[in-house]
Amino acid sequence: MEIEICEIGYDKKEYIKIGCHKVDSNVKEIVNFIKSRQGSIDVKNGEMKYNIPIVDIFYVESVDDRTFIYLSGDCYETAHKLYELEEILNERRFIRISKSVIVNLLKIECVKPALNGRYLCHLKNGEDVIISRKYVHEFKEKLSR
Amino acid sequence: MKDRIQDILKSFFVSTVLINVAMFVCGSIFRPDQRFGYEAFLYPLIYGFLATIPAFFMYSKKELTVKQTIIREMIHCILVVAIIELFMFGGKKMTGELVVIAISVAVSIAIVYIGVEFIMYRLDLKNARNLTDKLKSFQESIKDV
Repeated sequence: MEIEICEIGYDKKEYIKIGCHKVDSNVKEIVNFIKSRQGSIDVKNGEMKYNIPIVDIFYVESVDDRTFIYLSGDCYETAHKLYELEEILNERRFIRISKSVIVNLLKIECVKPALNGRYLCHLKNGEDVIISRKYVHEFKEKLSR
Repeated sequence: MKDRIQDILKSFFVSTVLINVAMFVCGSIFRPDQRFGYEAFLYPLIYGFLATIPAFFMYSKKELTVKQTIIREMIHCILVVAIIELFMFGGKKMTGELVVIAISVAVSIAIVYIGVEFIMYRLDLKNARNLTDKLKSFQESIKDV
C-alpha cells in the first residue's frame, strides 16, 4: 500500500483520505487508530473491555448511578461519572442537554419541538433525546459561539 | 425562572389576542346589538391575566413525560375555565340563558386554550428550525473524521 502525504495551506482543513478496494478489517483498524488519536474512553460490555473513540459517541446517559455510552447501534457502560465525562467532552463539541444526558453536537440530525417548552434532538442513528427546559438556553449559546 | 416568566408572558399576549377574537365571535352570535364603553378594552387583558394565573402554580421543576404533560395541560385548561367562569358568573343566579352562555364561554375558553397551545407550538417549531440551521452551520464548520 502506498502512503501519500501532501502539505496543504493553512486556509484548508486537514484531512486523511484512504483509497482502498474494499473497507475490510485492516482499513477499519486504521480508521479506529486515527479516531482514537483524537481521544478515547475506556468502556465495558459485560466482561469485555474496550477503548472507544470519542468521535464515535452519540450520547452519554446516566441511569441510577451508572453511566452508559451510546454509539450508532451499541451501548457500553463506563466507570466514569457523568460530571467527569462532561469535563472531558465539553471541549470536544459535546453538550449537556439534561440532568442525565450529554450529547455529541456532530451527531444531531435536527432539533424538533417537544411539549412543555422542551426540544428534542433527533440523532443521526434515528434515536431521540430530550433537551430539558433548563438546558435549552445553554444549547442555543453553544451553537451561537 | 427567567425562561418560565418569558413563557408566561408569551402565553398572556397570545391569550389576550385570542380572547379578543373569541369575544368578537361570541358577541356577534349571542348579543350582536350589545354596545360597550371603553372598559371593554380591559376585558381581554383581565381574562388574559386570569388565564395565566394557574401557570404560576402549575410549574414543575421535574421533567415530565409526554403523558404527564398532556394530563397537566388538561388540568390547566379546566382550571382556566373554572377561574374565568367564576369571575364572570360567580354570585349570579343561573338562569337557562346564563347556563347556555356559560357553556359557550367554557367551549370558547377551551378553543382559545387549544389555539394558544397551537401558536406556542408553532413558535417552538420556528425556534427548533433556527436551532437546526445553527446546528448545520456548526457541523459544517467542523468536519467529522
